[in-house]
Amino acid sequence: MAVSREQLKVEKGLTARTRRFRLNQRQIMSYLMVLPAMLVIVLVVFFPIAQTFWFSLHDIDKRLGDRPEPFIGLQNYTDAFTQPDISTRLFDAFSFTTRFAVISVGLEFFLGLGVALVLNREFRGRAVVRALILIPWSITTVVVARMWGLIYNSEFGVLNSMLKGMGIIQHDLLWTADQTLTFWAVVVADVWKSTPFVALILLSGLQLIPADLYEAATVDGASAWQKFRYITFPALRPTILIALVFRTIDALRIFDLVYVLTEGGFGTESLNYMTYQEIFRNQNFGFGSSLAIITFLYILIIAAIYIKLLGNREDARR
Amino acid sequence: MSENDFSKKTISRRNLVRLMGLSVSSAALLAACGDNTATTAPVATTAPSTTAAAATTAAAGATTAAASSTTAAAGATTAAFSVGSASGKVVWATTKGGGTPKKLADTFNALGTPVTIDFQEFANDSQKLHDQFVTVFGAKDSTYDLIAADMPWAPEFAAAGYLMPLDKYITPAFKQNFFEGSLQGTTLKDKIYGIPWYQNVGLLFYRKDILDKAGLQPPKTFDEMNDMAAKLQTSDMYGYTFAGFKNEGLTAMWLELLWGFGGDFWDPSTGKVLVNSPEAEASLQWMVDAIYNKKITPEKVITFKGPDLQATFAQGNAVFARAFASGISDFDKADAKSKGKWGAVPMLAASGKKPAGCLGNWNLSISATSKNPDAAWKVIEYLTSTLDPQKTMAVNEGVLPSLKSAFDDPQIKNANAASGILVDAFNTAKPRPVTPAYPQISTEVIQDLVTKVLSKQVTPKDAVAQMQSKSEAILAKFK
Repeated sequence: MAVSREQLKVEKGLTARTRRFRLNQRQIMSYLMVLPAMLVIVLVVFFPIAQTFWFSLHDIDKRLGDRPEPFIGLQNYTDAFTQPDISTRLFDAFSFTTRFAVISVGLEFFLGLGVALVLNREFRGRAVVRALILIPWSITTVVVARMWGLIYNSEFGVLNSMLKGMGIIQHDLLWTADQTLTFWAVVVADVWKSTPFVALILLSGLQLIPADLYEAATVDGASAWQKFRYITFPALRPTILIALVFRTIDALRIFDLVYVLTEGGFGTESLNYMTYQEIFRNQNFGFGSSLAIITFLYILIIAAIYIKLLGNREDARR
Repeated sequence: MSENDFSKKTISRRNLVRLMGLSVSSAALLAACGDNTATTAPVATTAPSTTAAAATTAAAGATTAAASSTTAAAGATTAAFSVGSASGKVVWATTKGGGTPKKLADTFNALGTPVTIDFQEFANDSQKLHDQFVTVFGAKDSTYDLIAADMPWAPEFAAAGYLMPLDKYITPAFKQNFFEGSLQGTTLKDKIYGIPWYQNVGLLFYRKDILDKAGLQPPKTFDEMNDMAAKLQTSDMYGYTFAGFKNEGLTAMWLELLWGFGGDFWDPSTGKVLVNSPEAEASLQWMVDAIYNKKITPEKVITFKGPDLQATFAQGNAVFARAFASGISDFDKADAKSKGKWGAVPMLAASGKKPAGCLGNWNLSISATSKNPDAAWKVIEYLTSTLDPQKTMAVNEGVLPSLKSAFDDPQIKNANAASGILVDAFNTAKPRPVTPAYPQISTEVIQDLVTKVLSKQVTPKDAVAQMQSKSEAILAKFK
């Protein structure tokens, strides 16, 4: 901003016409510079969204063969919310997806914060521990799901065998086929995988806090809790929001874990899984597209709220 | 298909086989088809290298001293394979299995016919392959000529217009090669859209050693099995097990029970749903009883996918298991406790009712957009109706041939201990309901409600009523 203001001052002496011309040239240049990136974004982001939206306004069911695929307006959307079987399913999917996102992101945040605080201290082998803790994050989600599938296996799984060995349970628990346990089985697998990511982002935030603030606090006789409450936490706030934005959006898109672990059974059908079912398994492209758009809007709203929070915070600091 | 069509290479190959007096054997076949096993296969190294193609095809057709003269004749049938006037490239998309489909494509290409296969393999995940086909065909892309398709896809893809009806190629004699139920599964509105490539069917496996010790004959009815399972189970060994996890396998398993109790899902000719019946209720009740009342089945079967069930039986943890015939390869593994100790019978029925297994075949279909359907059909003929490719699949992959006559082959009998009863099982086996709505009905209706019955959230009576209304609602669109 400062630079352009100065340039404007310099340009003041020129005639209005030339100034406009010059500004235009500069604008054209900057537009040209961002054009390739914008084109790519339009092509890979906006175009598919627009096309999916267009599909969602039509009755497209490939299983019905060659037939006209009429424009039906918002019929697919009203079906999704009013047809008895479908709306119950959609509501369950909303409920699962939301509960999953809130609980798993919450757990990941607290565990990640703990890990980040520990890793921010000086100790021998810190570099090694930092590298090790990233391993779960670096494993592909499908592999994580398969791995946890083996751990949860009711007949041969290590979890039941450990719990029985410790005398906590008498009979094998059905981790992947139980109305309550299955939800937690999915959450635990996700927390295991994603906590390192949160820890890493928070750690980068922690390292930006100047050490002299803590020194000053120590001189003033602040307790460890006071230091956290009045230095660490406020300074870390923007970083926390960023970590939460990433993780929440990610969690709301949950697909692969339930695809591999539960196939959407036992109350673990997520919005994305339901969309996948409709589009790929049922080839009901029109209705499936409307589900995709509903999911997209839901995530967009949540993201907008976060960004608003983040924006306000930045403004407040200025 | 006249003798004139033979290329020189084929003739020299036949002579070679004859001269050497060798016959077919799986060991040589396996070895010779391998990527770099030429030196390990005695035949391949001793074969005079006339031409590269002759050597490969001879090895593929061929050989050790141990086999009988009947199998040598079988080798000759393949040698007689002709593609007629077809020529050009056929793009074949399939799951990769244990690598055998690729070997079959290589062997076919080595025949030196004017038809060549461009082999495109995918991971062994049928759902992924399904999604791939939906994407490609949905976009009207004409990349694939020939596809390997899981059984329920035939009606689904045919209705969507992705597949070409094959009737103009199929002669009555050709039809005779296959089991009736298998072809029914690929027939939509009186047109055939797929030829069975290899097969699978649900069977009841039992521990022969344990039944023998107790002086018992394998059961024929559900009640007989209940009694035996209750009597023979121990604290380390479940009486009866099945794969109860919410996936496609569950539907197949339950349909067998439904048929065994004399019920049916629908009447295919009228499209009337028949599932709200006392028979269907009895089939669900039978499972609930097995788990919660008779306690011959552990509650945890609801978490068992096919491989978990197979491992449970193979580890010696179950007296009875309802598994797919493809499970045999697990039961016969060197370290399996069930090795050499198991037997199998076609799936059971209630007394006075007729049993029927559920087919889990893989078919070969030609894409509606194929530019070279004639050549693709020749590849189908080669893969499904000549003995060697059928045998190669059966022996290497542990799957079952779709060609009826292959079951008479000594080697197949040898490779598969259950082959004796398999012909019976396939003769009575049925396909899953043949309708493009099937995948949706299976996941959203049958799997959902059977799972809810198994976990006692819904009673069998309510479940069948819900199945009826939900299936009708889905099918209404397809009238």
